[in-house]
Amino acid sequence: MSTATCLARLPIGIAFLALIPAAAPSAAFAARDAFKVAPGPAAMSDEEKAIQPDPARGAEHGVILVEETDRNDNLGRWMEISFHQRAKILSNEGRRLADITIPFDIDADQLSQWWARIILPDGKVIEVPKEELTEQAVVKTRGEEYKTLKVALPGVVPGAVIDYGFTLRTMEFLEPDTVWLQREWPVQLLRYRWAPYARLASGYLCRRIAGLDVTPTVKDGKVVIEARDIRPVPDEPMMPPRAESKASAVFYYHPSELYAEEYWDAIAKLVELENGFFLSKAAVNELVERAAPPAGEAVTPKLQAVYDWLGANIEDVTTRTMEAEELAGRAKDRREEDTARFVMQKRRGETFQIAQLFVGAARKLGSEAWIALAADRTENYFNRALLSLRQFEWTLVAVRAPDGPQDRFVILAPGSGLPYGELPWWLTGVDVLVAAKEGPLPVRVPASEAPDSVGTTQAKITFSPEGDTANVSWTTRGTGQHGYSRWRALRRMKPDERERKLLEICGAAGDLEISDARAEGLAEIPATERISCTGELLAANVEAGIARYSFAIGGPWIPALPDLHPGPRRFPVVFDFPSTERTTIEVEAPEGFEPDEAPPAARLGTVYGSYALTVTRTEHGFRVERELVLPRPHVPAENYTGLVGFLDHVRRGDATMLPFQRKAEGR
Amino acid sequence: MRGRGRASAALAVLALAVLTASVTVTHAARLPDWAQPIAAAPPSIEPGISRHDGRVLFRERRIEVQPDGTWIERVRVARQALTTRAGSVAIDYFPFNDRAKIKVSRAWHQPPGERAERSGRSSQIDIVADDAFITDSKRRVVGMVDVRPGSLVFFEFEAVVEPYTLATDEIFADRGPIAVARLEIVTPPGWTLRSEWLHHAAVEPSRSGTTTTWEMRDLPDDDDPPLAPSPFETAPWLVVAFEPPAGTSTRAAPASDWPALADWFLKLAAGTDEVTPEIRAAAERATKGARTVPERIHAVARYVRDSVRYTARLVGIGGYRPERAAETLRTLHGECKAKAALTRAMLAAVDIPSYPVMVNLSHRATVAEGIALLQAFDHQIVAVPLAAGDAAAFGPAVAEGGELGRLAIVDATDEYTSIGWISDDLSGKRALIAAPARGRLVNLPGRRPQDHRVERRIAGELRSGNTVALELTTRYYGAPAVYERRRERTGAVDRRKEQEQALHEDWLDARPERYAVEAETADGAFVETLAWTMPVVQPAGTPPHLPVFAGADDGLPRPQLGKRMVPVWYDYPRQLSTEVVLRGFPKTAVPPASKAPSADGWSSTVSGSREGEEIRARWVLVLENTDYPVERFGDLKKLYGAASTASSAMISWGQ
Repeated sequence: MSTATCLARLPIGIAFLALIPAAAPSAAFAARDAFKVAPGPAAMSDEEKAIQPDPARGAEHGVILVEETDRNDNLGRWMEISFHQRAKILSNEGRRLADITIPFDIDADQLSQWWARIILPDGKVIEVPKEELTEQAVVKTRGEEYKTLKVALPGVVPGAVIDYGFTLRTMEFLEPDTVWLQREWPVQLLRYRWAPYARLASGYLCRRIAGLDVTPTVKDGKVVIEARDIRPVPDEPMMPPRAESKASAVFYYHPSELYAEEYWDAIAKLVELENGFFLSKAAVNELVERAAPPAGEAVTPKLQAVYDWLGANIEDVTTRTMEAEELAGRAKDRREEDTARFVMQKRRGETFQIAQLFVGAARKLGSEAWIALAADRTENYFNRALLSLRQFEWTLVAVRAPDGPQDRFVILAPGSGLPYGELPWWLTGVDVLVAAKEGPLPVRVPASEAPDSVGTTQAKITFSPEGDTANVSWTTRGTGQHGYSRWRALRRMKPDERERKLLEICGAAGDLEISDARAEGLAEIPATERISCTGELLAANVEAGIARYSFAIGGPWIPALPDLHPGPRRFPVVFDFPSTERTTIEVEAPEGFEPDEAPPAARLGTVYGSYALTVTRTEHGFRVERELVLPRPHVPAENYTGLVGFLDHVRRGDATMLPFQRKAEGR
Repeated sequence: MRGRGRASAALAVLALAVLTASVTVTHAARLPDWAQPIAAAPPSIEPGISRHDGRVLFRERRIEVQPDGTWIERVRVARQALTTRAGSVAIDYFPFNDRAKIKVSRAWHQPPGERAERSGRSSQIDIVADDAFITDSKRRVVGMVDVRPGSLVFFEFEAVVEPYTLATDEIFADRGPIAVARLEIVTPPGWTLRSEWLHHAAVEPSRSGTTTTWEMRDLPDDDDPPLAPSPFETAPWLVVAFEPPAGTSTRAAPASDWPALADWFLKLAAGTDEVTPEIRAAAERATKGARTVPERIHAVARYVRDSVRYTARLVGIGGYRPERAAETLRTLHGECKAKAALTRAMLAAVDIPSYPVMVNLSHRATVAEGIALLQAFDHQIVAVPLAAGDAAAFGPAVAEGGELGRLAIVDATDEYTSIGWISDDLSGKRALIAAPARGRLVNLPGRRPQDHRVERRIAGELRSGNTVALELTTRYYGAPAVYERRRERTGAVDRRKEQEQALHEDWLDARPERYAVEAETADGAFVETLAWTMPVVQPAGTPPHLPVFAGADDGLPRPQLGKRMVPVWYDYPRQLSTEVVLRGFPKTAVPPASKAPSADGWSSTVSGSREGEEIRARWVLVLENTDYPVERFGDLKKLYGAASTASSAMISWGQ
């Protein structure tokens, strides 16, 4: 998915790894230029008066007319922040804009400037002096107190304009943050200026600003972002993560003055250095010996053996079962060391430690192997222009074995519980950063294929003799990514939590009483999940005297479809992973009934997927066989209508009713 | 003291994060005397993984009442961690505000098989205790780190407290099961105690001199599934009043009875409802055009409800004394007491008397009949005496006030409840009417199914081309109206989208054609109209049919009952009805058969008929009983089965 970004490394002076307080603030503190945060006019303009609620354009409760922030980190011991917001209130719900909290730990005497005014629809102006600010203690600890300043602006009614701002100085270092340009309210003008501390390397990055009126400029060591007429963007189901769908500007410091290539080069070197500290010859030798790789020249089978041994014998503490965690928690020896020797000795480690161990063993076996850093794509994608390690959540391994493809890496996830070559789905479909010898390389990790992630469900439904209820039972097994994240989550739950979650998975509700819900295979590696559900449908509605009876095949034994419905779509639809679902349902005829003619088969194949439903009459009832394949990891917004049309076809098929007729007398 | 129940999960996380992030210094230490016997013989941890992360081995709250009515309060707690996720065991807290001065806050940690250590000053923090915009309500939190299965953590707090009234309460519940819980009260000579239990049979205290002790053992910690009562509504709750000898002057007001508490409040609030010229002018503007007393009441209440935004400032006595009405009118923001005071002042300006009313918005059954406990309430509304004949203008929101007559109940804080209706948060609650010298407890109305109802009307027509045109008009009243109105006002576009998606789920291939909402009608309804067309439903193998009651049972949440061991409580009784009128269908179209299953507390009535060219169908589900203990789950299953059966009713016809 492409993006338009603005990015830059700010041309700052010599890099330092720590803050070095400078002398008293220089003339820069006193000098002001055209960007001056100041109160807005004390009267409503004609344009402001004309603004009315327009829910269709996101202006239902309020409009941000102006928001300005001027942050100066370059004042020696001080940091100065000036803020101004002017907003029009359009509804009662919008009045909450008038409950103001200054979100910093400050006292009122740290405010060098404050103003607030309310311009009522009739033109009257209410001024709110600084004395009306109330200090609200938030946390007090060890003699230090963290406070905010608050005020509820008076007299605010729909149609009013509020205009407030402040300037504060603080000696506290505040980490620069992300500024969201697209928000809950429309924004007519947003300006943000940042003067970073001169003795730290810094940078900024604009994301998702394509098509928006967003202009960044850099001058005299300061960056100014100006955004105009930004409309809110409502969330949509199955959309990319917020960081990848809504416009934002990210400001940050990083530890040295480097361009992007140099930064990632330094990171790659650091990763390798850490590997060196972690690994030891003895630990690697022990690992290789215990893995007992097959003899022969081929390296890949040896890597696989090491991979499998690690999965079976070294517990990844981030995915250990709750039972294992409890046992470990009661152990007397709670010492921890960040060394390969310790991990091998204790047979447990963090994900990144297991990855490092695998790297060591792979190299010993003759393969290239490097650490690969991965982002969780449900949170954000890896962005090379953002010089920050905070975008990564996972540590993987990239290998290039002599007997494998030489033009690309194979990315592995040791310790994940997945088979060799498979990765958690949330790390696929995007780039990872391989800390390779030739330099850090972004490598695209493809999504898995639908045939690799198969959910297979077998269900059986029988009716009570009275026909008022039906007994249902089904078992679902998954391969590949199917059920994988659920497997991870269930492992980490306590037994009672697990039981509640399983009831939920089995669709327990008032109409369907689940008497038994189990998950098997939670302790197995590779990840294996089998969910079994047994229950009773409370209202089967087989009534006395009726000649015909129809039973709907739908229920929690058929996995839920994506919650996508007709309507406009802005964002692509992002699936967790391509998948195949196969369901077989055996439905026995109610007492006194026999199956009528089976409904015709339904079949559809499109670019969005394929669906097949076959109903076969059996001696005792019907067998329903259903297959749904969703092969695409994502669907562009312009194809949304087609996708929904396909899913509606599936819904129609899943609404199939099985017809039964009462047996003739004597049968 | 209120707050001895469970800390919120968010609070615990915040506190633990802050404590862990700060440099927590501990010292090797000897356990205090009271903790040593517990540490010497802690119960063993059962094999397997406990449902609870910890349990309370001992909890004692001791109140030493001083002659001036203040008291010294001491709390001692011993917790045992049962799992590795013992974060909630590692911390405890003492709630306080400007009326309490904490003298002692300490913790000790005895890891299994290791020496005890004591908290340092860095292990304690004060954090804000509630989400009011401005508040002085805090919690002193003390914690230990490195707590693991088998760890014993002991906490001790001591504070000097200046209460507002001479009463206290103790809820015998905590995070996890409790082995021993104790409330000990020491009074000055000549003082007496009165006590009352809520949710539990009376437990006799032991007495020794001026010390009275209530003790309970082996208190469970129930599960918390959907539609379950909270511990505040089921745990044993002891309310105690302290009575000094006659003629004793104390800094706290006596809690002798409810009329006395009402008078105390009226004295505290005296002058806050003063009618100023600005208030009079605002009242006259608001009631312009209103001809009758009920119309004026409605007009004033609507004005305060819609013009004054809710912003809570709960500092000091401001937690009980309202802001002056004139100030609330000036600022147009305030919390429940401020809005109630302004309502009363504006009513007085148009010569309508009223009373402040105290009630608990959050929980049921918080009122001890014989002991006036101020902390029983957390919300304030208004009651207006009604003349004979005026009650009809207030529908469900009329309470029987005994000698105060019939009272219109007005809650101007609730922005989404129509005046004349009662929200589910207030329905049926026990409330204190603060009438001068005649304060009394009353039951608020709103516990009839018709007070919270959903009325659906579907008109349909079969058209050529095998298409059905349908129009659904839904009228919501009471609690359902509040819910829908809140959704609508929060985001009208999102709500419409959700409704059209729900339509798509219930009626595949539906094409919406018209949509309209009236958020508040004159009779207090929220009305929504949705019209659509769709092809006749005919899945393969079945005759054409139309599900007539699809979605009609959405207003009845149905939790899983099979493994449930706690009661099911519905917040409010309700009535769900759907009337269907269809035209243009073949004569072979058969209306649904009549059915009327019922049991004690509910009924479900389906009827169908053909009247000339029209097919009519009707379903009415009435839930009168809201509380189902486990032994009555059979009734609930029947109700759920009846609802499922009715909602799947169809009209089908031959080709």
